[in-house]
This record gives sequence, C-alpha cells and structure tokens, in this order.
Amino acid sequence: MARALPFDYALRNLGRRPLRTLLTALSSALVAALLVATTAFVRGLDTTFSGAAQADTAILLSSVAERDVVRSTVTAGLSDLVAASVPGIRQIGGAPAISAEIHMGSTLRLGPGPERADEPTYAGFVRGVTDRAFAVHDAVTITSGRPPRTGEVLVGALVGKQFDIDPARLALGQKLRFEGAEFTICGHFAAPGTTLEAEVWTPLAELRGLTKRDDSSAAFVRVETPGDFGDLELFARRRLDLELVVIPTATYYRELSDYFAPIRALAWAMAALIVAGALFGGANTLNAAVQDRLRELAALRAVGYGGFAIVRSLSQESLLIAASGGVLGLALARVFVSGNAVSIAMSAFSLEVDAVSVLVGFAGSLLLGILGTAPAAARVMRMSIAAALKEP
Amino acid sequence: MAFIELRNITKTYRKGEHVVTPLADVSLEIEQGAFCVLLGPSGSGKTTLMNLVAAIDRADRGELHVAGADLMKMSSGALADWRAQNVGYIFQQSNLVPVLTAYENVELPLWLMPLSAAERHQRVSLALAAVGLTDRAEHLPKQLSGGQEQRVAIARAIVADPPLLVADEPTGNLDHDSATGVLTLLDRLNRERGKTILMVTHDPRAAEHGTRRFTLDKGELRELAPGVLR
Ligand SMILES: Nc1ncnc2c1ncn2[C@@H]1O[C@H](COP(=O)(O)OP(=O)(O)O)[C@@H](O)[C@H]1O
Ligand SMILES: [Mg+2]
Repeated sequence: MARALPFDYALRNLGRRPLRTLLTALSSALVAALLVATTAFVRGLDTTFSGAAQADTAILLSSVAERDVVRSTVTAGLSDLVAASVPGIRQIGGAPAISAEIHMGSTLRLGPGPERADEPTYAGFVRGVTDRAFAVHDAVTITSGRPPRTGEVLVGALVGKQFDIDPARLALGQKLRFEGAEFTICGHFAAPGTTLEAEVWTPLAELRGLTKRDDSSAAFVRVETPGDFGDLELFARRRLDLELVVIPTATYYRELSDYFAPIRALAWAMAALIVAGALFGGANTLNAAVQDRLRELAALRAVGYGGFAIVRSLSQESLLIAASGGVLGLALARVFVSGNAVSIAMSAFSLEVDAVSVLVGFAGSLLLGILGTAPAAARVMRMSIAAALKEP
Repeated sequence: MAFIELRNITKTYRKGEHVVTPLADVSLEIEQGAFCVLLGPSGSGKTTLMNLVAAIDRADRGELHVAGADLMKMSSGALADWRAQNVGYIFQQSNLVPVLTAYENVELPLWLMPLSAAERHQRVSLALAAVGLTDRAEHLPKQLSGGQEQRVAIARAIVADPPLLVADEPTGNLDHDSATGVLTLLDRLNRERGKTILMVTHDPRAAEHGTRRFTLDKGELRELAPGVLR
C-alpha cells in the first residue's frame, strides 16, 4: 500500500511559485558551493602544513627563535658538526641527510634589471639550499630543469598563482630579482599539498653572501629510525654553546597549522552564517507553500491522507529544490573553486574540490532541505482540518 | 445500531473569550441509504455537524457512531484511515488539487488503498464515466468549468466506493444548470448505488431531493415533516 501522495504532486508543486522555487534553489546552490569552498580551504590549510611533515625528520633551530625558522640562526658549520658527532643520521647518496637552509621573506621583482620605481613587487618566500635539500625533503620533485647553481633559482609550482601572474613569466630562462641580485629560472619543483610549493629556492652560499650572513636559519636532519630523535636531542643538550632545540617536523608543522586555527574558525563561522540565512529562506518558502495551500491540504486530509503523508510530500518538494540547487552549487564550485590558490602569510596552497568537500557541500544542502521543512511540517501536523477548510 | 448515530453531541468553539456552541446536545439517527438534507441559517452549525459525521473534527462530548465505528474513541491516524474507506466529502468549493489533472485528482483516494495500477485505472475510469467527464480526464482543474470541477470532486468522493457521501453546499457556487447536473448525480448515487447522503443546502430546490430533511438553528436540530419546507 502506497499510503503516500504521488511524487508528481511534489514535483509539480515546484512550478506553482517558480520564482520562489528558483530563489530557494539558488540559495541552496550558494550553500553547497560555499560549503565546498570552506571544506576545501580548511582541508587545504590542514594538509598544506601536515604534508611537509616527515616522521624521520627534525629541525635544528636556535633556542632563542621561539620556534620560528625565519628568526632562527644556527652556525654555518652545524651540518658537519652534527654529521660528525650524532650517530644514527641517515645516509642518502653516500652523504648524511642533513640540509642547512636559510628561510626568509623577500621582495621579488620579475624580469631582468635594472630596478624601476614603478614596477610591481611581490612578497615571496626564499629558501637558500644546498643539493642536500633534495635528499631531505621527500615531498619535493623537480618537474623541469635542475637544481639551482649560482645565479639561478628553482621555482615552486604555486608561486605563479600566489603572485597572480601569467605562468609564462616564470618559465625556464626567465629572470627574477631579489636581495639586489638577478637570477635565472633554472627549473621548477612540485611538492603537492605543502607550502614548499610557494617558495623560490636558490643556492645557500649565494644567499648568505647577498644577505651578508655567515649562518643558516636551520638544519633539517633525517634519522635512521623514524620518530627517534634521542641522539639529536642529546647533542643539543651537550652543546649548550650552540643554543639549539630539536623539533620533529611533525610537531613543527602541526604548531604552524594550529597557528591558523582562528582563520579556520572564521571560515566556518562565515559558512554557518550563510547556511543559517539559507535555512531561514528555505523554511520560509515551505511555510509559505503551506499557507498558500491550506485548504487544498485540508481537503487531502479529508480524503484520508494522514499528516505524515503530507509532510513527506513537502519534504520531497524541499529536497528536490535543495538537490537541484546543490548540484548547481557543486558545478559552480568546480568552476570557481577548483585549482584556485589561496595566499596566506607569504605562502600559498591550492584548493582542490575533492570527494570530501563535494560530500560536505551536497549533504549540507540536503540537510538544509530537510531542516527547512520542519516549521512547515509542524504546522501541517497541528492544523485543524475543519478550520483550514474554511480558508478563503 | 443505525448507520449514523449521534447521542447528545456538543461542540463548542472558543474565540478568545467568546465561546460559540453550534451544537448543544444534538441527537440524530440515520439509517443506511437515506438522502438527508440539512437546512439552516448561515452560522448555525451545519458544517460543524457534517465535519463531525465525516470525522474531520471532534465533538466535545456525546456519542458518535458512523458506519459501525465509534468515532469518539479513535486516534486521528485511525480516523484518517476510516475516512479513506468510509466517507466521500464534497465541498462547496471543489478543492481539487490545481497541479493534478482531473484523472489524477480522482485517483488520489486510491493511493491509500491496496490496489494495483490496473485496478486504480479501472476505478478512476468508472468514476469519471459516472460523472460524464471521461473526455476531460487529462484537463487541469483550471481548464474545467465550475460544474465540471464539482463533478470531478464527486468522482473523487465516490472512487473509493465509500458507503457515506457528505456534501456541504455542493451547488452553492454553481449556476442553475450545473446545479441540476450535480443534484441529479447525487440522486442517482443514492438510488442506484445505495449511498447514504448527508447534504447541506440553502437551495429549496435541492432540498426537495432529500428523503429526510432537518433544520439546525441555535444549536438545536429538528426534523421536518415529509413534504414541509421551512
Ligand atoms: N474552526 C472554528 N473556530 C471557531 N469558530 C468556528 C470554527 N468553525 C465554526 N465556527 C463557528 O461555529 C459556528 C457554526 O459554524 P458552521 O458550522 O460553519 O456554520 P454553517 O455551516 O451552518 O454556516 C459559527 O458561529 C462559526 O463562526
Ligand atoms: Mg457551512
């Protein structure tokens, strides 16, 4: 026994107030798109900072730098010291996997010199590296060209998006200027899902010269046994004169990600506001539908339909609107969100519309459709058939 | 027990401080197959009485048995099921669903019954034929005249073959000819199919169709002697 109103009733009811139906569907689309974008953003933020973490890698930082690589300075000879005195360092390609690096923010200019007052500048992130960096940072793959030599830079895959410029301007052989010197782009690298992709890498020795430093920011050290940094810590404690702290990269990137917790919360709060607005709109639409059809619904109940049968038909109506809006929203998200990069604090990550964000977006709009039915449903369940039949 | 039996039925409505008592201690017995006409001034409680008998409203107190069911003791869900099987309600306005065709409107009560698609089709076709609207099956209500709409509503009321038809001023909105058509139809349903009919009307001509006539005034129900109007 069906005991339910035909599905056609719900379907055709959508056409009774086409404008209202359309507006409700659009608000559902907005919700779906926004939820996809927010999920992609928050997930991007999370994976970006966790993606670079390696269980077998720790960072040696200056203990006065408050765990900030850019502010940290360690002695230039640290790599050799560690290699000579700490057991259990992993050997890769016949050499210890220790990468001394300078991390710094810098002002970048595109194209060859000389410098012009009116040319655009870009706030970029520069990392001075040796060839050892490629043995230590597993996430990095050189996608074109080769590691940088003097006067050269290797450019991360997201730098162009972060600067919002034509990728051709960062093609092989193009010029970049920073710290008063001109560099030729010798290659590109990818490090999917990490902030490394928004960086420009150049030889450590040259960056030291340009910035008049004789130190490094930090050393990344890979050990034989993942998670076991005991020998490194012992070294840091014995050599108090070096003022070092050992931070596993997992810890370091988690802390970095925690730093962005307020931004994540803000993103969700914004999404919640829009969702609340859409919920109100959807509830209003269905309430109006019930108001418009009071006498008709009362007649259906007089025929023998129970309150639930009518509520069910209203939910179908609401879900039809929500689902079609949701599909539209997913399409919009695919077009406008997918592949876009978000710049954040001299870094960047790209937004991916993946299964999780699509699920959140679509489920969100459907849930909205169900919740939006509630006030109208309550009204139908409470209505007096006799009184509703007297409606004009 | 009679087909319809009301004992000391009282119904009051509260409008703020105002209490209206359209039915005060009303008793009534109607045998199966009767065509009863209910007359009375506007606001006298005729619709209220019909709604109680059709189980779409509840009395405050008294006893109410219709078609063997004790309506005062049933849950609203049970009443809905009971309505689906026992009552066809014809309103003053046709109350058809505007987005459904005549055919689909007539089919509505059948979705509540354990019928196959073929059985539904057969019943809808018979009901539409009975009201003479076979050729209007695919029309939407707005494409029908008032009289045709009301006939579709009658088809919807009889399609599930309920023993009781309740009609609240069914000709109130119709012109003379359409009204005649509707009254003739009700007459035939009563005589040929044995439907018990309860009809409210203001139209003296319509009242003549009744085998029994009642007036309701100031909460009091009286039966008129045969042949006497007003
Ligand atoms: N749902 C309701 N709420 C409050 N008062 C009502 C309601 N339905 C009917 N009434 C009142 O009950 C009285 C009888 O109404 P009704 O049965 O519709 O009269 P009739 O059908 O004879 O014109 C009227 O005074 C009307 O105002
Ligand atoms: Mg009335």
